[in-house]
Amino acid sequence: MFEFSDHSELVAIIGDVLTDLDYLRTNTTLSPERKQDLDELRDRLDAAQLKLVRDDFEADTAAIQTATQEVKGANEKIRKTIERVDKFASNIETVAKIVSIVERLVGIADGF
Amino acid sequence: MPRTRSDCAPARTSRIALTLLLAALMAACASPASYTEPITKFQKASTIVIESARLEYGAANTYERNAIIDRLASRKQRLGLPDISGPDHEAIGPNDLRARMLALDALAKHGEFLLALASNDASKRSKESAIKLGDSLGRLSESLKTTADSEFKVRASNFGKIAGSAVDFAIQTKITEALNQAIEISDASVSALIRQIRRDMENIYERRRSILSEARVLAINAYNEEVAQPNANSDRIEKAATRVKQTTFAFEKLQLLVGVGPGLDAMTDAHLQLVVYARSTKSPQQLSDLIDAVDVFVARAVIISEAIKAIDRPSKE
Repeated sequence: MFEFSDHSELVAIIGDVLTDLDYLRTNTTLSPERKQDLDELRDRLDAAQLKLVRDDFEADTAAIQTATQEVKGANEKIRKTIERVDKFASNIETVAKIVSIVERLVGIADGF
Repeated sequence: MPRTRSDCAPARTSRIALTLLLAALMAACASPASYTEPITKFQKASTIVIESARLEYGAANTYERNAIIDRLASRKQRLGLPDISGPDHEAIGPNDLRARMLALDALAKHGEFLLALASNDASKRSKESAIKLGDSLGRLSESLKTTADSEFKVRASNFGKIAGSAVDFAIQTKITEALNQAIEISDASVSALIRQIRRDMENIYERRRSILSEARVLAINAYNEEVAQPNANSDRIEKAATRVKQTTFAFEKLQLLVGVGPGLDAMTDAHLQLVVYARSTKSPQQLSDLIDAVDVFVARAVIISEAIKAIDRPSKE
């Protein structure tokens, strides 16, 4: 069984990623295709966070802790460069990695 | 032979000493009426916290549903009931919600029960509280049968089992055993169960933050669409701008306001104070300390309740 703090921390960090992703989505130079990709990533991460909240999610502590650290590290990377246009593509890639980590953890089959 | 003043002196001294001793003994025991105040206040504060939690839980699914509708509308996509109903679109299912509400009710009843057991007319008071707690635990137990296996279920079941045996002792007027058992529950299960509900609240807060964050994006997109129109309409742009202001304000406001979490912390603290009192010699000073602690619980519960009402109030601009 996981500790409360691990679970809650992960839900909160996913919330941070979602708000960062929302910041990126309001970039006025986005192409419609790029915008659609971001919308899709956002939908998936949102669904994964909701699943994490809804199910009294059971996973071993190590899996939660590992995912939390990975997501935290990736989000810190995004935060440092969120306003740099030249880092836009790599930030999107990082978000996609985060989505993949979280989906794997909550058991959403398709993955990224 | 008439008694002299000196003959009477030792007898009078004994009477005065006895009177003083009786007065001291009476002062050391609080009157039954004095227990009414903390019990009533504890009930009041618990009710406020439970209602605040109910508001938070109840609003959670509405926020989820509205978010889906807003998202589909912004993408000009069709909408059907399967898109907005069912467990995949809920933060908490109806059975889980009911079980949590009943758990909070049982926790409040347990606090009253503990206080009744600690009062100096416990045999009279505790039976009534025990019956109330027993009813509440019965409803909780029934409700848990319909919820999926979870941490909450484990913690609520543990609480129910120990509280149930305390209730049995009280009904058999075994006050000491009932009190010991009630204290044991508070040590082992009450804090853990409240912590579990607090985690729910934190998660619900995070979901609301995510939803309000996206609402800003949808409002900004709508604004940008309006200004990009060949014959941009000033009224429509202004309306879209107002929506951007409203959504960004709602997002910022959420982060400044407290949720029901501190109310649950206050409930935990009040339970701990009840345990401290139950274990004490129950002097008037200790009862007074308990009343102060319950007053703090009431004050915190009221402040938090107001803050929660503010979260749910729609912004004007």
